[in-house]
Amino acid sequence: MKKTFITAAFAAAVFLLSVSFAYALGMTAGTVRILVDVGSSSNSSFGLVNSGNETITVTIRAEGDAAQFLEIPTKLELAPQKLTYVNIIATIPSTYDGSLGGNITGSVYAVQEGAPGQVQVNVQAQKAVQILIPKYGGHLPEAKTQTESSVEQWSILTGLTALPASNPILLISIAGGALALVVFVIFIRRFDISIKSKRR
Amino acid sequence: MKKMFAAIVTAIYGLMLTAAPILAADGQITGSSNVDASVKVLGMCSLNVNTVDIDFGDLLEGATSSSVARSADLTTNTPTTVTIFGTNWIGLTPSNNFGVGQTEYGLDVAPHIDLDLNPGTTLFSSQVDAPHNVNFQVTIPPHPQPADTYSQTVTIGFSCDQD
Repeated sequence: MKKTFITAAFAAAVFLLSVSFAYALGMTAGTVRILVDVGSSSNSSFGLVNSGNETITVTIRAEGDAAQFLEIPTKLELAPQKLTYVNIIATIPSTYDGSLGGNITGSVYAVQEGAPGQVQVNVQAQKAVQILIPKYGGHLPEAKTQTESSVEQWSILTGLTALPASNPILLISIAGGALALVVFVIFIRRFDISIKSKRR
Repeated sequence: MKKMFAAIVTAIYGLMLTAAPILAADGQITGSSNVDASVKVLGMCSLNVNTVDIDFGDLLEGATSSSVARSADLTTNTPTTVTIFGTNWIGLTPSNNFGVGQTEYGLDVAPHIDLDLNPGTTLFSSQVDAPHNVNFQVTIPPHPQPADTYSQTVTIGFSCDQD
């Protein structure tokens, strides 16, 4: 009994140890691009995901030329199994002289620190950021569009054939009409259709 | 009787012809219609790393530790780059230190690559899920290396910036 208890406790400890310190930090793909005019601010965001089972805290920092123009949270708590957006605000002061051009690049990092010890192992998500200033030639790239369309050439012929084909009631009507016409022709002599004028 | 029959047939036929366009299945009286549907699947990349600290134990000057493995499992649906870099080893007495390159690593193989300070050192790249192990070992510099307790930070990074 005692042996079983010790074995179970050991197994549970090993399991908890492996679960508690295995983090999965994820993020949405793509570069964050912020279009902003001189003397104004604009914002964008990207998503961070904590795929683990416990809430984790990540520290956020920015580097590169763009860093001086960015406002970001310094820490974020990521709830387990949820997508949390990191808001990035870019502000270009009215005194900006265009010395860095109209496309200022940088990176935002989200770091999950590992357990402290002899060698601490951290996990770091890196997100590329571009600040685009139209006055100095910065512009958003053209959206990649992939269109698949099927265009049917319209004609009287396709209309005449497609209309009954798409409408069963009309098809039955036409067929019924044709049948009635045949019946009428065959038995035309048996019908007694006459128009009589009324006499006053 | 015959007149009544003809009248009934004509009335029903007329009613069907009148109702047909109204009762059309797709509400159109034209011959065809297309509906375009689209959905965007978000690109996501995620790295699952075993972040238990690495303990190489107590070592003598010039000695090499045994290899210690840490998992680095990538989950992704977009091109992703995984990087690795470290810091120099610093003692409790800050003046005691030795270089980051004394630590070696290997991806799924025995450690053979010197760890670097450069955060842009690629560990691997993939656009599909990729489970890996990173094996580490450290070699203490030869005499004289001051006796101390040294520590280092290793960072495993990832990025997926393709739109």
